[in-house]
Amino acid sequence: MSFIISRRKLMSGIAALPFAPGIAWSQTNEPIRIGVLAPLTGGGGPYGADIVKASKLAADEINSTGGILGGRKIELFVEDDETSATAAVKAARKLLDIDKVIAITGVWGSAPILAVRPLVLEKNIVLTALGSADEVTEGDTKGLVWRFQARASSWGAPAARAILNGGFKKVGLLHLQNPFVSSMIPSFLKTIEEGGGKVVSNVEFKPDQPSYRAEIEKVYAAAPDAVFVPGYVGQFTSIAKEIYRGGYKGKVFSLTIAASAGLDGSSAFVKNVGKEVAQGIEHVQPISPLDRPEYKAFVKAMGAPDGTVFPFAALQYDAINVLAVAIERAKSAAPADFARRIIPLTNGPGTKVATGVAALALVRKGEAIDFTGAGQDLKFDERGELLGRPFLHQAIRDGKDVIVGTVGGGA
Amino acid sequence: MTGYFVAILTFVSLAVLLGFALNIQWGQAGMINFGLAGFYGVGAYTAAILSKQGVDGVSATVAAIVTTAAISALVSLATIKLREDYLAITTLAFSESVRLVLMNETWLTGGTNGIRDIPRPFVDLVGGERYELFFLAACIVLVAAVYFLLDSVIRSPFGRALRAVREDDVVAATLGKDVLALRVKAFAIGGAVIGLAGALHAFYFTYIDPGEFAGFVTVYAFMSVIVGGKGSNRGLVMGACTVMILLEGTRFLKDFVPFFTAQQAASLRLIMIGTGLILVLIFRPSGLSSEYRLSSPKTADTTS
Repeated sequence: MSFIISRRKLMSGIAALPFAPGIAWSQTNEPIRIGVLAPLTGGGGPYGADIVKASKLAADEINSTGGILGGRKIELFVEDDETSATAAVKAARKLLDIDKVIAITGVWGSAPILAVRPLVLEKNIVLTALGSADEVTEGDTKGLVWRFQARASSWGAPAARAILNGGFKKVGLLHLQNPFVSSMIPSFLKTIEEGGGKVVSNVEFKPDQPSYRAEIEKVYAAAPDAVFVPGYVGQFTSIAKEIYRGGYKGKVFSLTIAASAGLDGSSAFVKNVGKEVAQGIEHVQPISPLDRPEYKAFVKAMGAPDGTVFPFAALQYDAINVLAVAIERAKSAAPADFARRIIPLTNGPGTKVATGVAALALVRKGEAIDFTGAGQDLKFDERGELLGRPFLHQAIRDGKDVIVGTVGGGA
Repeated sequence: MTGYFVAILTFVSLAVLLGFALNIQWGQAGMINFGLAGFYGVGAYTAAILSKQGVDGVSATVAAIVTTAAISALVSLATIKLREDYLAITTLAFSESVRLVLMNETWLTGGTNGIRDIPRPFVDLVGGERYELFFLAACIVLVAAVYFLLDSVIRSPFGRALRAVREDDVVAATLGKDVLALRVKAFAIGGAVIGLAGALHAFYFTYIDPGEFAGFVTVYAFMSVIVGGKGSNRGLVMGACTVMILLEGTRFLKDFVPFFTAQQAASLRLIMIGTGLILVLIFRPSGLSSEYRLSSPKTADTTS
């Protein structure tokens, strides 16, 4: 073996010397391993790719500015939960036992979250969820479960307010039966009654039905002025078509996740049902304020056109950032240590910062920060519940979404 | 590391149990059960509902076995007046009915919300930390027990009669065999094993919802049997392992192809699973192992 060093190699070696301490430092340090258990196939498939992309964006930004804990990089382990409880458990097992992650993030949908939660808690690992079902943060979470999404029971009141604002008093309710939608019903009913309205019909429907005709007839039998149809886009597409064909009168309200037309009219829903059916449908959802500069910057970094609605990706981006900053603040990648730092970081008081890179710089100086985030101004309660998620009320006109107003955030 | 393998082996055990059931119903008796997922759901929900009511785990499991066996026997009675091919359609319809009942009878099954926090049997005794390992050990013991039970059934005169019915039911009937009784019994035995697997599924996951008892469960079970070799329980264990290696191994393979996006990698994984199965079927069309009578020609009963 010969050790002949060319002059060029020698020069490049010398040139690299100033960076050598950094290199040595990062080489002696293991990367921080974070799991992203996203719905890449199955029912959540439309959201999974963006969730992963946002996670990588956050990790890349932090890694390119030197990582955390003195040069340790964030390494992401991406697994597909196939939007199914069984598949999620298998994938989570791999993340926990093989990849040895310190947190599982990005889990979407009630069934995968509820199935994965016991495994994560048993290993004392942090779980950040993008799902709304109330059960996610109930029971003993050991302070390890953090929901980067509005709790489902807080969705009911803003939706009811949007309907009351439109002057509708006789309200029909046609809702999907699943943990997420069921949680929002009590607060919806209460807000309608308190606002002087009346729920004249309350009908449940199940996913994957060949037809929703019987349920639709039942709801409209009481002649409501407006009908609220919370569910997902697949079911709502069939229901909207059947309501249109049935010639029923009255306003239709749904969730943005189901009925969004998109600012440019490019959503799957409008493409599937056509402009006529979509016309006049209104929808409500907790949403990242589209005019928020931090959100605009996030959309740009994702390479999407201005005004794109990311229902989950922005908060996933924030979740990775929050975990990184919490680890830096705790000076430890042990879940029990850094999970305790999340509330002081997000709830302030301190200097307001929105990105992981900016926050890390301040935390290293030992300054107090109030992490705001791209998705919204993040605030948590001690159960790991995201507070003050703003709700946006939109209506479809000529196949495009038009903003009607905000209907107030609420815990 | 070990936790992952314990989990995977537990999944293999469940898959093997389902494969055993299919092997007696389809492999031995020639009765196609396309509604396996439905029976699996009956077992899981019976165990889950009873344990939520405070029934202990063992009794709940026994109840799941008995209920699933009884329902299987009832469903197989459909063959009284129908040609046996129609059993495939009947079972398929049955499994769809089960799914609808699970989704709509909210008072009993929790509807699409599913059942949460199913109590695990013996968890106080074993403790949470070692529970996974204990559960795997229990599964392996049960798989072994079922293997020997079914093996003795298959080698018994009853087993021979079943194969006779499978090959030609008219000949069997002419020789004085009660074809209907044989079929009902075979289907009920298979049902009992599915019920056991269902109960174990409920206890392992502690959370069940109707979505888990959909067609893919049936497909995976058929895959194990086809890969292993129809009719052979020994081959089936290999078949179930092969299918699991395909399902899980692809997870690691995709970690080494960095140039795909996450979504492409996830889809690629599903493509690899399909390709793997096709390759097995091309190169080993009769499965990895063959039926008992071919593999052990020297048993005493060949001379009788």
